[in-house]
Amino acid sequence: MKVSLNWMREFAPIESSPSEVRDILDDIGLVVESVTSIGAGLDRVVVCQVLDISPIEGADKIRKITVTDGSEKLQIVCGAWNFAVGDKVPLAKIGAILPGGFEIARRKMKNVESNGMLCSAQELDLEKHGIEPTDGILVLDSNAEVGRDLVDELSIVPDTIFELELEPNRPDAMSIAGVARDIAARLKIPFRPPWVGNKQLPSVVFNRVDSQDFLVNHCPDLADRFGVWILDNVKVVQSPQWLKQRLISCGQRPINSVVDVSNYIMLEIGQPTHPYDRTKLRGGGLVVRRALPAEKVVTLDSIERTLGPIVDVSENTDDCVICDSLGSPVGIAGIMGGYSSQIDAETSGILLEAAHFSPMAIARTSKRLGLRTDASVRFERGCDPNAIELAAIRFIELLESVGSIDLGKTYRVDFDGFNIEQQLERLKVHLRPKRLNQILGTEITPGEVIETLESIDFTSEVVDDEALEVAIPTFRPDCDREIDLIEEVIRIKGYSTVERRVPSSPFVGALDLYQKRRRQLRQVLALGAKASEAATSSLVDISDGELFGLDYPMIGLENPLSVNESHLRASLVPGLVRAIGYNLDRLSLGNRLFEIGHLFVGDERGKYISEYEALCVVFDFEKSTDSVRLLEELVGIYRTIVGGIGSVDCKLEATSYVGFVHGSVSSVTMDGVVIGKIGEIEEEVCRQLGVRTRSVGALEILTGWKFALGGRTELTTGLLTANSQVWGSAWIPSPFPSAQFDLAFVVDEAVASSQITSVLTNLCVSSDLSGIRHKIQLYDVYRDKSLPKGTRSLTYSIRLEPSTATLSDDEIAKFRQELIASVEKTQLAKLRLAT
Amino acid sequence: MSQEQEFLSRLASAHSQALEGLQSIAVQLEAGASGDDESINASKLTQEFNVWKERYVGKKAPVASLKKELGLLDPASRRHAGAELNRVRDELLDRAQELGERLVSARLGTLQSSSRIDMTELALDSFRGHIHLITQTRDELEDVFIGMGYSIQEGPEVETDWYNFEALNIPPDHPARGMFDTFYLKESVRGTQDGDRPSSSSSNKLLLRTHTSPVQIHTMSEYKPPIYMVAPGKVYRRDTPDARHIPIFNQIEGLVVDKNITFADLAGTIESFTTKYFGQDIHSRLRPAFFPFTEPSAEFEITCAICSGSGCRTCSGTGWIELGGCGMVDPNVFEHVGIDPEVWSGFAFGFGIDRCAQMRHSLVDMRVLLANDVRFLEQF
Repeated sequence: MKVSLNWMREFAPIESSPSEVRDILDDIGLVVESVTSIGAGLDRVVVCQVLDISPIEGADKIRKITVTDGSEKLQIVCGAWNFAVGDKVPLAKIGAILPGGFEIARRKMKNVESNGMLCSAQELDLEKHGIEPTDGILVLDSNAEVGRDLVDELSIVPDTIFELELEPNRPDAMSIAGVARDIAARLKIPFRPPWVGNKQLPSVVFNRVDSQDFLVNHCPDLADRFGVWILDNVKVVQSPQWLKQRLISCGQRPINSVVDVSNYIMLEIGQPTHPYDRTKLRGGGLVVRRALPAEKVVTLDSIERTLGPIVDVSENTDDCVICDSLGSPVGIAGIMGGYSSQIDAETSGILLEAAHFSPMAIARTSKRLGLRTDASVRFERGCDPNAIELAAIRFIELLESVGSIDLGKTYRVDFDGFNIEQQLERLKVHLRPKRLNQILGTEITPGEVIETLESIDFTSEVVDDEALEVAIPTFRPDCDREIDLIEEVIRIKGYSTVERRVPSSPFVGALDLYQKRRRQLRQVLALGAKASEAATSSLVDISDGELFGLDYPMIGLENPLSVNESHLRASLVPGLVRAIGYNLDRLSLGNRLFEIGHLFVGDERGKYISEYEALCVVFDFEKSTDSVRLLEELVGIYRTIVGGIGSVDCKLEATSYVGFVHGSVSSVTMDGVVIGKIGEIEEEVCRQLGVRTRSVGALEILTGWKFALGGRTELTTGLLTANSQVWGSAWIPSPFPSAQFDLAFVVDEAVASSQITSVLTNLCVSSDLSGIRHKIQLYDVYRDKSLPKGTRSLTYSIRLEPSTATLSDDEIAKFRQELIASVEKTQLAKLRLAT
Repeated sequence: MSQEQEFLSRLASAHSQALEGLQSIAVQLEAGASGDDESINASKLTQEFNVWKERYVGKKAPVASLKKELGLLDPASRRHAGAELNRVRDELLDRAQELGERLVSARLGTLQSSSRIDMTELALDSFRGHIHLITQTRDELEDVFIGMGYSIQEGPEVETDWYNFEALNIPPDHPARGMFDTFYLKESVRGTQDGDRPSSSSSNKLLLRTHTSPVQIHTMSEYKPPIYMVAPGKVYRRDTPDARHIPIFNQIEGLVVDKNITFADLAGTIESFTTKYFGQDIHSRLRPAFFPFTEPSAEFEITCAICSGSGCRTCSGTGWIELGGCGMVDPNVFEHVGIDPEVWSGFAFGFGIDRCAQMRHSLVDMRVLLANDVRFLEQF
């Protein structure tokens, strides 16, 4: 929305400078996006006449031009060729500073002195004044007065234009009058619209049409107020320059006097109107009705639009059409008029429509058609239902002033209306000044409250000691509650008038345990595992998921921006592998990336979705024939993580997962629940994700938070799950000597070392040597031809810490035997060596 | 031989013995340093030197005992012999000091360059991982509010229409919906397996949250006032990425509900946060705005850090940069979560975490946050 300062000054005596007005607008919530000065940069630009054109020796692009500015002859060097002797053109004299900031100085070209510059429309930035840019120098009308300032010659009135970024709840501010009203309220100066007291045009005789069929409204729910006025003896002309300039500076293209006046009024008071060429309306009158299924209308822009519900015929449409009396559509209500009845140079009679439409209906139709117009935006935000007659009168008044009609001594206007004469009553709302101060933290007196509201046309009456009854103007559909009035008072008084306090929280601020552990996890990853944190997109291509067998439960978007981003990620792995590929392409090798983020898993039928937080680490590694070194690195990272945050309950169990190298992948479990996976990614999968030259290892583990509609829940198993913050008693190292011995077993390659560990652990726990602290560690893995085929030797070191007495040799020997027996009993392993 | 002659001859003999010992050490040092003799090592030489010092310049050295005998000479001889003794003693001390210094420097380096280990070449892999700029920013913001007595709340990224819009006073077809370009989930997805589901079907529609404000609703539904919380997290807007906007970004939401919370408390809190996070010279101001879930609503701006408020291109000459939105919790929102707006009042605010990082580090193109280029990540 663009507003002109000059135009606003017709409504209120604003004496503030443009920059002061800008600050006021910002401060009352009508945010200024840009400020444009009209007529700036045209000082010392005058009309001159070309007297002579002669060539310059040795130059084929520039010529020597002699001009007169009325008082003296000047020699100018010019590179344009589109004018002739006798033409009148703009001359920027020495010292002029053009709109682009270019300063005109005396110069010499090819040894010929140039005492100014002949200008094109572009160089003078005249497009914003309604002058179409042309190639070459702007050739002025032959009647132009030589020596006259160009601004005067072109009737350019210096002005300042503010482009406002309006909030959707302020339809009243979509007009010059509305913006001027707010500025006047802040400045405490009177707001006086020019039409006040001028609502009756003395020479106009209004005559209601005596016919039931002239205006028929079949859908008062969509068009609750509707009026038509007939104007005859109309001459369609060019609008005067002042009106054109205002339209152009506020973003409208001048067309002809009738259309321009309609647009002018919309900008001025915010009420759209539509003029029809009445000779093109069959039957003479109008019918307002719902669109028929798939009904077609060609709009003013010569595009055919299809209205009404197209799929389900039984459904009632909210698309409202205006039809001629024979029922053919001549426009889409509140959005755009029809092509067939538009105003043209031949138009001699007008039927003017001014109406009020249901905001929601206009919004829906406009959205469905993808057609937003100045009118539709105003109607959908809510026009003043009481402005319809005012708009018609203002239209007639202005149409006379531009010379399109002559009201003379009497001028008859036939009209008809649906619900237009009855003014909508103002809504009344109670406002408690005490409540106002309670919300704002201010000490504003009831008197000030009344005065402030009065300045924006909200009238108040005192109800009792506690409350005021405030009548809300009909142009403010955004206000209908006490809190809205409270906002209005402080908006006009200024937010900066409120003092500043800081509330004191009764709580000690702190992260919860999970959040603390998550921060710790990041430190462990960055400083311990030396991985850098990435942030990949949550929106992925479903084929990325398919690579990991995740296609089925992946949840799709209804309206994705692209196929690449059409599904919610069910795993963080594909995104991070792609990030690794991105970096490999940029010659960064050996990267470790991690991410902690949400992933989204659908159930089997794809109907329900679960959202979890998870950790993922991915790194690239030199390609090799076996996976051992990569897995060593991967498990090293894993151990750093679980060790670093003390999640000792996590276990690895061999398994297989789609997308991972068979035999080089494990699940991560906690209390028997699978919470993650860890392994080497298949070469082909890597290739698909953009990694060709390196191997990739990855781990992904749920961290323990699950999100749902009710908010957040903590799972009982997860990397960061800390069952409770129970303070255990500390173990004091025993004064009795500890016992230590090693057991080496020959174990089948198919049996995981962790299986043996847990057999040993279980025995320690269940043994009658309770009260003895134990520590079991796998410390050597040994493969050799001397061992049976398909086996390896695992050596465990077992350390026992008695707390009450020294262990006797017999006790130790007995215990060692028990351990050996328990392992051998499982038939998973055979003792090789005991020391 | 006179007493004096005898004295001087004993002195000369002690002198030459001492010099010989010193010379021997110096020669070895030379041989070691040049690499001619690899068996020589600096600490052994130092030991030898210490023995020499004890013997020739210590308390029991010949020079020291000769000094005691000076008193036995006649006065004329005494003066001459004394001067000679002092000369010898000073010379030995000087040379001992010089050799001592050479030995120390030989030990600091090594005698032979070939046996020295270049420790600067050992730290090849001195890299570490880096926590993401946005996480660091988020942590820092969280800490500012933790310091003010707030808790940290987090919510789902997949929300229903009800939490993202309706409960926040944005009914279907409300013009304010135009402020958000929303990603919706496929119709076939019905909801989450658990959690409450409001009755009407349009309220049930699933979407990616467009702001962190739904966490206000979750928090007010779960806890009774007083509430002091901030909720950081990822949000989604259906926008084609450009230098200033990315479709997935991070916001932090704040909510305070207590008795007698006023607009003045909001303005003070925003100012307090601004100076704590951005620095003492950066201030805030509030400007009227419209958000359906707050009333009065405000946009908050902070001093432009580029020009310190004097006006520049970044701030369009105003001296202020827009950071986020805020306001008093709308009574309709309180009613949706069953809090009596006549008893409790509150304020809420929200702003971009990415934007804070952008302002601090002059990120000219926000799309750098989507690429995960390690050369970018490793700066922070």
